[in-house]
Amino acid sequence: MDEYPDLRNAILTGSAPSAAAAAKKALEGGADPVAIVEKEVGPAMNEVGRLYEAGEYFVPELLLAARATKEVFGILRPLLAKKGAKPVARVVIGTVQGDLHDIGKNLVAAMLEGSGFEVIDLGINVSPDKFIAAIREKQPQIVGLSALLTTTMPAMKTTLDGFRNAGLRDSVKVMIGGAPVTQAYADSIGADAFGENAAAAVSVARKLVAC
Amino acid sequence: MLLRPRGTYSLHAIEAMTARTLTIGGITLRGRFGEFLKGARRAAVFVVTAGGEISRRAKARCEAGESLEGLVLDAIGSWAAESAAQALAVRLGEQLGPGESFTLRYSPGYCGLHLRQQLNLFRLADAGSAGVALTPALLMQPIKSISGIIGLGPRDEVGEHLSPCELCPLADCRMRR
Repeated sequence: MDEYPDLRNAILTGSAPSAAAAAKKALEGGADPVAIVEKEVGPAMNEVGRLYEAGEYFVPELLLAARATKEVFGILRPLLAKKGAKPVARVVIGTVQGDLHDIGKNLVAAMLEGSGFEVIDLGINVSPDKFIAAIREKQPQIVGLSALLTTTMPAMKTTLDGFRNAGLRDSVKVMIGGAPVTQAYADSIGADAFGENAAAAVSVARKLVAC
Repeated sequence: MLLRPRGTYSLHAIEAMTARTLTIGGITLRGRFGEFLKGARRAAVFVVTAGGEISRRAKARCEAGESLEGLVLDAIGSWAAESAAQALAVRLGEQLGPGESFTLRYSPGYCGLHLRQQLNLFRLADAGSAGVALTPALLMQPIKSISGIIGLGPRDEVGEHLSPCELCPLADCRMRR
């Protein structure tokens, strides 16, 4: 049974102002911020992902829901921090070296943020060294690599090789995605996971930090 | 201005063509020309762009947390680049002789035309005049740009395929039409 159906509905309909208002109202009514995340925000985003996979929602609905949820997290985060609750995980994400396409990577970043992950976006044309420096500095649990072209996809392998050579491969889980990328390619270069689309990337990331 | 479509092309007589090579303007290109430019007597090398502002704006909106706006702007940029390519084809149509038609458009990065061929294409077409440059990884900047080759030849000889996918070996491609 929903305790705060207004919040869940606002996320499902992608209304950031309504979601923010519903979250504030819940807090004013004495709601526990952790319970809001666990009982409403998380299940709402799961439902958004399910509707996308079912072909009922499309990318715009995903993004609107993610934006609404990000707004809610903006309100809840200071309260969650006071209670010692941490983000689901920290993710460093970027488009690999040589590739200038960022829209797919941005969608994944927005969905992850809307699902409670902390996302550090390194942008496009990211060299292995830049990823390695970010791993050392930010200590993420997950690194996400994106490529749009078959011609830039090999840079994913180069990046993973860089992690291995730097002795960092076992300290992070690596997920990859992008139009030409497949599970078979992820397996062939030794990535930990493949996200077929922005919604799938969230469930893949959750599984990576659960194991 | 959000969109600033520009384009350029150069038209060349085909000096030689085999299944895997095309020689125009004294430069030999490698790719599946025997299929894509089948029947062509002349080849147009083109570069078109939607300009860089649309991608800058899309990036800014994404960074401001407005991913949907960024996505829509990015899609508009893709549409504009495609429209520019179609507009260029209309202009190129003025060069067609009686009974002549076009082949499919063939672009680096697709179907055996390696990205390295961008260097040759940019030599043959004055890409700089359209404001398009190559990055060290041979991608075009602005990113919403299209380069390629179109063959011109007798209508009954040029391959009039319904879809380039018919010539593409990527059977499990998600974009297959």
